[in-house]
Amino acid sequence: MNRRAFVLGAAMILLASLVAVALRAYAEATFLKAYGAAQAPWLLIATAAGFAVATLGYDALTRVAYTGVIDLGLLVVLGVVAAAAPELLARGTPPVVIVIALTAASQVANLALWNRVAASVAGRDARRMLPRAGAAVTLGGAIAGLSAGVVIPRLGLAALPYASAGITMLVLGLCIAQERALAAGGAPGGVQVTAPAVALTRIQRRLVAALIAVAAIEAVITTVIDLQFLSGVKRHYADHLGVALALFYGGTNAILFVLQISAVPRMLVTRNMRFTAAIHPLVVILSYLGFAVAPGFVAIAGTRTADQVLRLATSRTSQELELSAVPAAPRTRWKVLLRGLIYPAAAAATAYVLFLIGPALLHESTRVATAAIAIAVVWAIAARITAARFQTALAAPLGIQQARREDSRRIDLETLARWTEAAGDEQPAVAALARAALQRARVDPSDLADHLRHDEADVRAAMFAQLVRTPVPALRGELRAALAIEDDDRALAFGIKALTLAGDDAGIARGNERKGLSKDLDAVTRSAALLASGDVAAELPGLLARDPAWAVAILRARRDVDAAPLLVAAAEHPETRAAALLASVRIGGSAVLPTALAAGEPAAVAAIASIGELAGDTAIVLPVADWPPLARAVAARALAGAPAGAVIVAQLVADRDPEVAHAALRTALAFARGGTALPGARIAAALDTALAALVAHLAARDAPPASWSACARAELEVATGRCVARLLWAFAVEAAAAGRDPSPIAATARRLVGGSDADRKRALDVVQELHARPAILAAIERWLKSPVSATTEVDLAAHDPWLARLAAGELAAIEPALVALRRPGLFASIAGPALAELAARATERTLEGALFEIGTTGDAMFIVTAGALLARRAGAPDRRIEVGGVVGELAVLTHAPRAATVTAAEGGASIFAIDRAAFTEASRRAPELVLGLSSTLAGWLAPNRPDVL
Amino acid sequence: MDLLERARTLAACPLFEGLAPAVIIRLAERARATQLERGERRTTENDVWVVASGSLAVGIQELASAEALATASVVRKHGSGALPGHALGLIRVVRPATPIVEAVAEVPSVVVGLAVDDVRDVLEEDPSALAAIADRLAALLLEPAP
Repeated sequence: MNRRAFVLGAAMILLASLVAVALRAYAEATFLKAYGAAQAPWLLIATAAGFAVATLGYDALTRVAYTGVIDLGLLVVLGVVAAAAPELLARGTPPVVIVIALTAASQVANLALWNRVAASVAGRDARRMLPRAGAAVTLGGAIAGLSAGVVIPRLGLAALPYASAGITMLVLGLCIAQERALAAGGAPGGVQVTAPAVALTRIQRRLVAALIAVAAIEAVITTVIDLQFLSGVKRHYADHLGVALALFYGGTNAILFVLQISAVPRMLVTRNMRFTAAIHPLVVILSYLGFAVAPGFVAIAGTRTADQVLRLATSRTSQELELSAVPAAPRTRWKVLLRGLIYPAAAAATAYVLFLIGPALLHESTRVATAAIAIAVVWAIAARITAARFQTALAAPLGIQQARREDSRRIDLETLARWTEAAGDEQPAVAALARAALQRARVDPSDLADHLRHDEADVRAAMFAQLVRTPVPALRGELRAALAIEDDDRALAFGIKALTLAGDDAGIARGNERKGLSKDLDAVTRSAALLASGDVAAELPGLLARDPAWAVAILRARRDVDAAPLLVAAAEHPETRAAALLASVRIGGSAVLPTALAAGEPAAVAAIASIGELAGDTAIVLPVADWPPLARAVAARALAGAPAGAVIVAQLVADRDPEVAHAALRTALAFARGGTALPGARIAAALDTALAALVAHLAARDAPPASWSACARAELEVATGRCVARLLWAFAVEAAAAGRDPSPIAATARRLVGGSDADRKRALDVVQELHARPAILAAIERWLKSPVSATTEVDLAAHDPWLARLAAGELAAIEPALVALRRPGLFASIAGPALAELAARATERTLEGALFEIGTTGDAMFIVTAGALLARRAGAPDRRIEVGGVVGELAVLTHAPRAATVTAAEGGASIFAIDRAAFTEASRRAPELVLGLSSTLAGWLAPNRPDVL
Repeated sequence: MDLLERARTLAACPLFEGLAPAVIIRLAERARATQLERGERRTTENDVWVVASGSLAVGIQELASAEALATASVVRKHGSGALPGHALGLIRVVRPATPIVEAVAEVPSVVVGLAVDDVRDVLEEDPSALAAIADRLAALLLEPAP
């Protein structure tokens, strides 16, 4: 914000408003004196049309000449016309010409000067300060009204244009001063003189079209209210018309002024545009409903007051903000055209139509109210559409897309048959894809009921498999009938499982009928009997090895069996370990599971990730609170593709460990996108925890004790950015639970945390449009601003124990390594504890000669911490790797030979070496490390692979 | 194109070769198939496009700006004929600073589109998918260019 330019601009438009009101009063009095009160409607039509034509002229001029010069010229013209008006009238110039010239020039000048004020502020500052500039306009109008009451009786009406001319010269001086202030201090909300002409995108054109519609409809309704009100005033206060109007304008301006300096700025930084833009039309609808119930002057006076106040308090500010999604040059232009052309033209047309229909119509209260309510409803809808288009236009430059997706997992029987056929394809990759699709597919049980006797055995097997995954007791009769004639052993095996899990053991008898014909069928039939009784302990190892999913079903059915020790024992054997882990997850955990997860064992991760694939998985509850933090975080990440694990993730989204909460919220967001909601209480807890953590981190930023090291301050910055991400993810999950699309919020989080400054500010506006709470907006806005000195006591340990220890100096030994590792972009944003672990495993070396030779193999990457390295390869110039640079990254992923010879530069170098094991371990805690490494590899790959651009 | 067909198209892309079928299916759930008429354009500013059928001429934008895009010349042409599996914009998923690509359908074509955000989300949500992509990138680097 350019504060000096804003203050000068506010003073400038205050005086310009004063001039406009004074000249309008002079023009109206001159018109009525010359043509009589009967021609009053023509005054409205003539001045509105004059304003529209003058605006067109101003627009044409500003497109070929520098706007600053045009504005100064306009003020000179206004001053000259005002000073010459009485003399021109005396010499016989038609009064209507004087009236149109004075009102048009003063109104266009006000529009032009408003744009100059708007140039001094941008973003959130504009939301707070422009209503205050509007208050200056209101104050100018009020001063003009009161002053005119004093000046006219003493000096006569002709004093107004002379006084206006003098004040206009003062405005001219302020305008020049403000121009200099903008040149010196910048114009954040203005048009750069050197900026190229920008064409509007399709999204922006749609926004402008909607704004045109809203401005036109608003003008129609306001004109109807105006004429109805004036008609009522004439009837009720014919003898005191001037006093009545003065009181009305005084009261209206007083209310408006209070709103503009208090409620409106607050509303603009806390509520979205759908809310703000809806206020005016909704209040007009309610006012007219009141008018319809109790027609009379009081009702229409109230309607007119509300309309006048809200037009400037909410509708104009909405228009101003919605145009902020348009580039500066067209924004300035359309602001002028909407207010100076569209609005007055629509008002003039409405007045003309009403004039043709006849003023008597205005006295038919029911018909007028009905028509006005109908128009206002259309207006409210148009305002809502405009707000939605504003949101789209605001988000588009950030690459944020909003699209509704249908659930492609719900399939019909025909698709099931096609996918089932593909699952048997001779190409393994095609078959694997089809099986994965079938695994996530959901067929409506009612679709299955009529087709369980399908001609294709594979399709029948697929349908029975669906019913194994989702047992439907209501289909027991159909299943029994289907199994009675089922002659395909594979399908029958699935069918027996499905029927048994549905609570009917008739399938076992059917299996026994075909005993000896199929080994697999025999096994299923025998084990199905275990669901009710039998020696589970003896059969379990074989079952786990043969059919883990079926083993799980049996363990779930046999609650009389203590499965945990059996599974711990099974996990001791390599051939049954994976199945034992899978079953451990299903029975509510076992001692072996958290240890395996913390160690990153793929089978344990897969066991967690497969939650949802077996019947009854939605009821899984694991004692995650008792697990070590790393196991909790790994489990939370592993569940990303398993929405049936929502209950487990819900336990972790408000976890006391920020790394765990981070992973859980990321997963919760994946669920939300897929349509799975977490319990409302857990989401609220997650949101509160994330918000409290961010506020605590910001408080620490604003009031860091002197004892904090530079490393601690840097880590605080990283941790704060991660708090912002968690807060927005929690907000996105909450939005999804409320039926809104979480994707734009998630995308906004990415731009806020990793985007440029301009993107961050725009992203914050997008967040506001997405229904964010004021507390969330305030915290993020505070984060985006520079730190301010404060003395708040902060309990950081409650929100980030690791950072609190670092700040207390307990981790001073690893601080140099942390600082060195933070330099490369690869490690810039990973969580502090993960970096600390990497630092602990990194080895530091000083280097004089060669680090490695081209063509050799290695398993470590290196980060330069002091001095420099030189990379040499044939046919390419030497590449110097300075402090913070990384070499040998490929080695932590592959055994590929080194692509260059790397040596220490003159003077030697110090390096950190990170081997493959350390990197793999760290990337389990911080998967974004792999993304960073991929980015580096992609940079090398892109120029050489036209098939992967 | 149903889910499985979209998944097959995505799976044919070299960079997705190492991904688990379940991850491909999750990507396919977020993808949409689009038919392009001859001359119709798409850019990789916010989307990844995998060619399912047809043929596209491809221009690489050296500067990541709309202005540069308007004047970008076709510096590399994506063959002529069927190009199933060729992907545009994938590198931008892991490396946003990569130049934007503009593709123009030379004949009526079908492409499967994914928002860059969606691909990144799937990868970030699933560390094993991320690791598979990194491994695949490393492997592609070692392969001779086609």
